[in-house]
Amino acid sequence: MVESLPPEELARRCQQTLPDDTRAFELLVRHYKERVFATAYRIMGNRQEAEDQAQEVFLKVYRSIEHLDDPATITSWIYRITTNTCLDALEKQKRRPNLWPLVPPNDERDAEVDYADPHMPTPEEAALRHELRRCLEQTLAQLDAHDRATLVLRELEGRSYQEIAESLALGLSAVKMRIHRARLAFQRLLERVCPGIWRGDHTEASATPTL
Amino acid sequence: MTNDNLNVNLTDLADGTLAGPEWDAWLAAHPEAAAEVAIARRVHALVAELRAIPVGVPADFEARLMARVSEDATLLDLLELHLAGMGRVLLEILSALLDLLPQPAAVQPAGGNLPA
Repeated sequence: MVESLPPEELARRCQQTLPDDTRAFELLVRHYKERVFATAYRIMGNRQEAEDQAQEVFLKVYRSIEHLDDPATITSWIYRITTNTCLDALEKQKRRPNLWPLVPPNDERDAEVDYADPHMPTPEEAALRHELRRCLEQTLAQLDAHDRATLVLRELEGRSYQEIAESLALGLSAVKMRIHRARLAFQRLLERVCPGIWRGDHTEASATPTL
Repeated sequence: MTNDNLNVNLTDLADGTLAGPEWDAWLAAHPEAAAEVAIARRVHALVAELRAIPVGVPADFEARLMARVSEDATLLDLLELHLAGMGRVLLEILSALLDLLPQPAAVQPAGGNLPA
């Protein structure tokens, strides 16, 4: 029965039962782990760092959920912790030798990611889509960390302007400005990382609808 | 319109939260802004392509996390015990020090002459 509780109720249960009983917390982790891990992966750029930071996020949740004033804001709160934890980790990386490349070698990524898509009937088209995604991931990984976090929250996680504002501790107008600038920066960088993709020389890119 | 306000509106236009014939007319009259909106919309569509790539959580993620949570709880318990223990020791030391201090002399009445 507890399994079917909505996240805000799980948060409330955690506040009542931690640290003695961790069952509600385990369900909360199960509910959010995909989103936290995917967000961390997109911001950090590799799986090992993503796992380390995702673990940190949930430890912070465990230690401080009792101080969460409104359990209804649990989702924004977890996104905020995720974004801040990852941005802090990237900031620390800048101050020490880079232990992990932001973009792992292609073979490592290829082993981890299943690019199979039932809508791509021919191997050639599948290869083109693979190439497009590789370009997009490389561009995203090379973007300024704050721009990357903004695009990840907006374009990949589908968060609202208000949720992004809460996650990044910015005003609504500042978030909209940042989204616009990040999109323009992404386009400029994509042209450098994979010349031709933006102009539509690439079959797959040209197949992407220009809205 | 200031540049900042323009950027805010361009995001709304790109995402469709601002729309309508009046905005279409405005974009038609401002080709540079229209070009930026077109770029923003295409980036939105392109980056969304990455959503299709599954990012699987490592199989042992929850087990590792709960082991760390358990360690964390144990450490907190130990810290609490340690602090409680230290508190008791400090109180005992304080009490011993107070015992070592000379006891205050009995107060003599003013004048020094005791009544007969």
